[in-house]
Amino acid sequence: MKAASGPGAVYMAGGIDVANRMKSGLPVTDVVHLGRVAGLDKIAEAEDGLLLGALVTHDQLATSPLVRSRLPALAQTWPDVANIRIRCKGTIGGNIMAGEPAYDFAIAVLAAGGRLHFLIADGSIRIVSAAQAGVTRDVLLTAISMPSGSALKLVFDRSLRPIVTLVMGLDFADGRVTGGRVALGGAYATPLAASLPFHEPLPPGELAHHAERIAEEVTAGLPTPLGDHHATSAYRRRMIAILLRRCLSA
Amino acid sequence: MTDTVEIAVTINGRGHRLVVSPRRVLADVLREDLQLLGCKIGCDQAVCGACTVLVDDVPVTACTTFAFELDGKAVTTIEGLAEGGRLDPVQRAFLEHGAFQCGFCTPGMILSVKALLARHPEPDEALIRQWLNANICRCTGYQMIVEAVRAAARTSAS
Repeated sequence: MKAASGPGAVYMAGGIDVANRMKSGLPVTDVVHLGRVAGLDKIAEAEDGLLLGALVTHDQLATSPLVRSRLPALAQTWPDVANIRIRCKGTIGGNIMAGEPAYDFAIAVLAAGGRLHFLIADGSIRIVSAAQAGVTRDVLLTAISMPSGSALKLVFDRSLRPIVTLVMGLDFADGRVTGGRVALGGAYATPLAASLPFHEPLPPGELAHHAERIAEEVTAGLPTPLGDHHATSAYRRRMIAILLRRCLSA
Repeated sequence: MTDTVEIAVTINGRGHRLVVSPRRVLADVLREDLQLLGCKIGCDQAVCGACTVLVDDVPVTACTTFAFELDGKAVTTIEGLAEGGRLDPVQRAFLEHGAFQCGFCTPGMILSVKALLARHPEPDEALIRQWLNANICRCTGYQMIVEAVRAAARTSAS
């Protein structure tokens, strides 16, 4: 339907970004309203974690018993995301597809090593890593899958918004940390993720001993952060290192 | 994009059939077509909360809600709260606690509080502040608003 409508057509979920962008002059010719598409607003347990429909609202995420039990850090953080009006209307799929640098769910998915499920023009579903997906408005995001439970620990630090928001995701196997990612919001033109350099699986209790090294290595490998009226590029880079070190030591 | 969309919407308990441009937002329809001027437009980008109304009892920003989204839904504005000339308990609490000065933010604030108390009948101060953190008031400093919310909660519970 969107393809038939031409290049000026946009998908709309909660609609907050679409409305704001149209007010700012986005040349929209057609709006494909997804608000009443059945089945895209479900949160379900899947074999490898949680399957979150793209039309799940932030409020559903904040209040879902399933999210609370399987991704407790996410459930604990989400009541503080945006405000109640946006949480009730805004969707997690829209949060990702908006491509805004500081949007929280996009970086949560990156840190979790989540995957995005896209409906493509021939009717098939393509599942890709969130880290590799990029934002293209020609496909329809239908769901997000995230590892959960004992396989993943998420740590959020939103204390320096809007300068930088950091989410760390740690992968666990047999009680040891085997890998992880850090995702950054607000520091670059789009959300950015980097792998955490673990030389070997670590017991969680030893993470703090490696925090400084990991934080410095990650920060050194990052591209130059934005410099703007909120903060200089150098300040952002320094804060990324500090926040990451704190998260690893927590 | 079609020129107009016909929607059936209930506003403050009364059914309306409206023909709207698909580009129009709810705030404009309420204010310009229906003269429901309690819905204020402040920032016009879903930040300040002045345009808050309830859609199916959920707080939304009327400035970033397209009118076509309202088809089949029920909208409550500040004009729909008082019944038979009697103020809603939240309105009364705001009045009795001096929880407003210029009044620009007050309709959105009160409707947000209605939604809060519907979900959390006995909110603590942290929860009240969390829910109202994006209803911006430039006059009162919020303390009297918080007191009014607690009073309204006590009234509702008794």
